[in-house]
Amino acid sequence: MMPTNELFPAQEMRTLFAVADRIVPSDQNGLGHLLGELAPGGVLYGHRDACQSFLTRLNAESGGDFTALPSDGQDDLLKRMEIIPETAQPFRQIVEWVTEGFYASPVGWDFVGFRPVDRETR
Amino acid sequence: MNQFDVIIVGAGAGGGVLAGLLSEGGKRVLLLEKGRNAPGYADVGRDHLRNQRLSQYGVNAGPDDLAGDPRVFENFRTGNAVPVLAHEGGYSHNAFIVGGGTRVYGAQAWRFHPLDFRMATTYGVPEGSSLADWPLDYAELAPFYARAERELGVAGDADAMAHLPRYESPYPMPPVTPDTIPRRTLHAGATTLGWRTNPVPLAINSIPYNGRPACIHCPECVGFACPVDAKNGSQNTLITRAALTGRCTLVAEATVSRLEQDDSGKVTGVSYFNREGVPFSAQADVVVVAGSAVETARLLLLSGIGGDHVGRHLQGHYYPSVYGRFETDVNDGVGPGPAIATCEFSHGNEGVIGGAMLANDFVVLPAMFWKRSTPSGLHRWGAAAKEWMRVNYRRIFQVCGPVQEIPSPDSRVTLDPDVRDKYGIPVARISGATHMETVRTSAFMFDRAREWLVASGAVETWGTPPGQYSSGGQHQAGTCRMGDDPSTSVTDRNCRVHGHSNLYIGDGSVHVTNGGFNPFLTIMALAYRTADHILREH
Repeated sequence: MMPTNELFPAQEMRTLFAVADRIVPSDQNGLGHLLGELAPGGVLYGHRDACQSFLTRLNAESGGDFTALPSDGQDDLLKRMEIIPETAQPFRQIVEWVTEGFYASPVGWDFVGFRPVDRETR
Repeated sequence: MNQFDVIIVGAGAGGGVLAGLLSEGGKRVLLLEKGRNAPGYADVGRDHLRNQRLSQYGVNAGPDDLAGDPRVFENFRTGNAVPVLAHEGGYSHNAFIVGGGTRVYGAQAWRFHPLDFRMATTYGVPEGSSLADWPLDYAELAPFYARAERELGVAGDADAMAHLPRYESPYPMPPVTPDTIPRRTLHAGATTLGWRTNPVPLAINSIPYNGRPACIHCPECVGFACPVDAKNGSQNTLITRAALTGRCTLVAEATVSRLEQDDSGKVTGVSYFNREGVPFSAQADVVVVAGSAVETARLLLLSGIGGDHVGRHLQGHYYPSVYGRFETDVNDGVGPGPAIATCEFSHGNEGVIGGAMLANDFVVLPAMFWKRSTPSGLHRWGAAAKEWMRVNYRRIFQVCGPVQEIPSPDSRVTLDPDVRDKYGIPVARISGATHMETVRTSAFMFDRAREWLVASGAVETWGTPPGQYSSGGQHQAGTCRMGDDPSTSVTDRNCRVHGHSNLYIGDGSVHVTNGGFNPFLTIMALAYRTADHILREH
């Protein structure tokens, strides 16, 4: 099984973590769902090329490195990506994957005050 | 040894009841179920993104091989038809598992209203619809409702059911959720509106019953198995009773491909595939098909049985839903959730056919709320979106209800000419839509739901009334409707298929109309009645 931190080249992986941090600020747990499903055998495996292309494009639009921008600069750039035709759909998909993963996980449950019977990740 | 007294196809709500009663009545029963047997809590998945309510990436109660069990969905507006899998829109999914839908349902255990059996007499028949009366009425079914409530285990307050004739006997258990914030909030609103309300009857133990414990009020009821087995389905009641007789053989992961007949048209048994795809056959004096409305229609069509009405009049329940946001925390997460209902609008609504029961909904999962139920215009990412959820997830709840559909003969199940399942069997094709009158009734009920929330103090409400669509899904019904006239129905008033003296239907396919209530208790009551009939006649 491919370790999920090798899904994409190192810079794209750092960028993905940074993007997720803007989507659900200060929490990385939404990524567990997304990384698992982008891996071989995951339901989102067929989307990995489009996802990687988006991350590469994002770095290009950042002047080389999205992670080097300040937070509000990152947000401004993502808001532009959200409306440019070629990047809107991949970005919105990543938003859905990260947020649904967050709210379907114990950290998301704690955040909104949802208390299930057991906290095992499903 | 493959000769039985009775073969039952489908171990769901109705199939389970028939298996239990016929076994106890001395019959040797073969109970075949397409899905797996999953008796333990850990045997049914608990992924918030893969369950009956939110099937984003899969399902938790079957089919287990999604690609192996496709259907075809034909868009009624464009005519475009595509294969769909169980977790995708258009499939009209109900569970494929021992217990059927009752393994993971929310267990709202309602009787139909007397007028639900008399929809044509009461309202007339709209042009293009197939609205019709049932051949039997509430009074005939009442004793069987009572048996189902007692033997399954239903918790409620019979004295509060003011919209129905007086119950013969009280519910065996008091209401599950005596008091929650949504209940108190909506009760106050109903009082100002002058609406009568009642506790929602649930097939969930509010006290220890039938050897299993009471509900622990967790927030993950509908769509999941119960962590303490307090939720009553056919799998932990009637099917358990069937097993205890020693006369019922349950074969799970068995796909029935055909009802077999002799030259005279008498049904002699079934052909089926086991889990490995090895073909088997079994014979019986009586066969009951109880695979839910889509699969039962499919099997009869595959077997050339039942005539033109097989597959037609597919219906479910439109569910107008309104969210209300309050200025204090109201979503207390105390499960199961539905605590208070009103039946003021089941019937008698000026200028509208039928109506619906309205109740507050099950505790909404954060992921499902996020995916489906936030107000439009809310940003989908960033700190503001996260903060909105932090504050407002606990300040909202939902009122909704099952609208009694006005059926259409063109809302139907047929066999797809091209697409096959993993065994090479033609799959069900879903086409058409419910009659447009249903949209009007839904719009009316949407307004009542919103009215209730506003009267209860909601400062913001939102939702989208349903537009016309092909209904079915978890409440699927209608595809083998009962009637006295063989030219306009598939079964007689005893759920026996016209022209076949030993073939019965034991699920919601027989419903002429589907009531303005969750249908499973009616499915079970009919199964009790059919079982009595089979024991007398065969």
